[in-house]
Amino acid sequence: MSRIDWAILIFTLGSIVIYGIYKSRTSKNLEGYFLSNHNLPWYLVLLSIMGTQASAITFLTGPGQAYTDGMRFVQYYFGLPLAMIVISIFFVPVFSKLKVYTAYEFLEHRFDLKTRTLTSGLFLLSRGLSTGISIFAPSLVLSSLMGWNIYYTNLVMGGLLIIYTMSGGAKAVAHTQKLQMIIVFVALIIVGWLAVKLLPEAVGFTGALHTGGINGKMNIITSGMTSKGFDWKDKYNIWSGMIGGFFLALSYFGTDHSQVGRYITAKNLHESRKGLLINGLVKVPMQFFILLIGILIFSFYQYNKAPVYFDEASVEQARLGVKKDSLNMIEAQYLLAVEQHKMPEAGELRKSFKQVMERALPDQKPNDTNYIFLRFVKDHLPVGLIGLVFAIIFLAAWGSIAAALNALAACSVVDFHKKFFVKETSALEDYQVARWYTLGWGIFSIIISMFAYNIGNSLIEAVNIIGSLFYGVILGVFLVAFWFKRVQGTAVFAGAVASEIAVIWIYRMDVISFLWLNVIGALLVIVTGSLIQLGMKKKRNPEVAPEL
Amino acid sequence: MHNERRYWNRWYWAVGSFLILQIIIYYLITISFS
Repeated sequence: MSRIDWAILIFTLGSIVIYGIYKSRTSKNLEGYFLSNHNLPWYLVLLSIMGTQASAITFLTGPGQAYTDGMRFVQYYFGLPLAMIVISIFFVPVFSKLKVYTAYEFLEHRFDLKTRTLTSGLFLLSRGLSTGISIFAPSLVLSSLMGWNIYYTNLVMGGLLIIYTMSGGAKAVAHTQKLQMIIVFVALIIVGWLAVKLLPEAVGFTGALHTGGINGKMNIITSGMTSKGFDWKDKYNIWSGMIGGFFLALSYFGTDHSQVGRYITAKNLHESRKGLLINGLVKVPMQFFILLIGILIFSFYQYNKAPVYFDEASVEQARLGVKKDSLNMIEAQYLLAVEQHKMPEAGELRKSFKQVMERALPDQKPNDTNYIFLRFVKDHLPVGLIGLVFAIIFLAAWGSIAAALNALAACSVVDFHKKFFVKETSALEDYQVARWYTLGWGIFSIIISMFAYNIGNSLIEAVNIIGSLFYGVILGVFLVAFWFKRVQGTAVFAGAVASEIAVIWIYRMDVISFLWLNVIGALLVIVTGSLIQLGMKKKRNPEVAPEL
Repeated sequence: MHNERRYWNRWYWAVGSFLILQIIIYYLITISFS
């Protein structure tokens, strides 16, 4: 990377840290630290929600996913706008009325302490681990591509943001996310424009789309139907996106405190709703645009020599083993096919190369999808812009990690520390404890990211699986709370435990794509909770839940 | 209260309609470029 790129990278990251510290002034109590004194306008809520959801992996995976699998990934987001509507109608008014500090606090009002503790504990477990992974995953790509030390990259990726997150809490998180998202959008628009400019003049934007279409990449809407009927294991189609994506988005935005913690900082109900609903309007087009960059990169490489595999470091590692000759042979054939403009043949050879890579490094489960975007940036974009794009990967990571740390600290302090350990404390002591918890979770996440390097991709998979296994069940508990007023704490608690076991069993059967697990988990809690309540009702008459 | 409900209902319709419009456009793009 050139000096100018380094200067731009350091300047951008440094500016965010300084801006975060500048915006850190808030009242020294839990309301100031975790809720920003309920004073954020809708546009800050919107950018904060978007900044929390869009992690570094979003920007690395998106274009790469379109390059390898086409545009159909956008369907994954089709359920999100509908979820925004449901959350605005049912979830936000309750959180706003009860003035909760955490999403799970509501469950104690509605059910009992054990249901609140269970759901908050599950959140701490899955979000705590996944925050470490959201530091490690982009660090791995950057360090591998640029030859940087992974441990130092982890420290920058997960360390600098702790300074402003610890000092300013929710307010600093929201204000830095605003700046981060503006920089990310501007940089992506420039990259998209340049990707079109780099195409041969006769091709242009529509020509690029046609090239993508001929190669099956413009598969935006897919039905998931095969000659044998609907494919339940197909990850991305309109039905899994609309139904599975709806339940996933409902669970993520309605019950994951890293998101709930953003919109409960709004001035009032009106501002929270507006932020969420505008997110419902802009999220799908934004994802479409990110994927479109992948199509433009794909088209670019139809007229320019693409590497046979985008993760060079892994290829070098694989060449040290017994598959060296196979890899060299396929690469030579691939280069010849590219030279002779036999693109379909080159595509097949790339697939063969990937298969040999998988056999050469079976423990690492190599996949170069996440490397495509940055490799294109590094090899073909002008000096200055490379530094800016690398900066946006850090900024995107910071936005979601900062929100996660703030949420983890909020649940630790409000749902556990003040509930079970130290009940009588002053506002200032609470504030100081909250800061220490933020620091503690930050250090914990960095430690996880350091260990992840030694354990490898299996840990990333494990963490992603944990998330998708718990999400549906937690959502089920909330849906029972809102819509099944006769079901009480013990019944929903037992139903949630039984449903969790069932979801894990279904997952182990490997018969269905993970998006459907959210639907199954939520529905199972509703059914089992209601049945258990019915069984208990025969023994004694339960009280109906209080109106919320 | 009534006006407030009408105001938000309009938002919900806008979000839902925009999603349907996008799906139609994406479908047309899919068939045009395949």
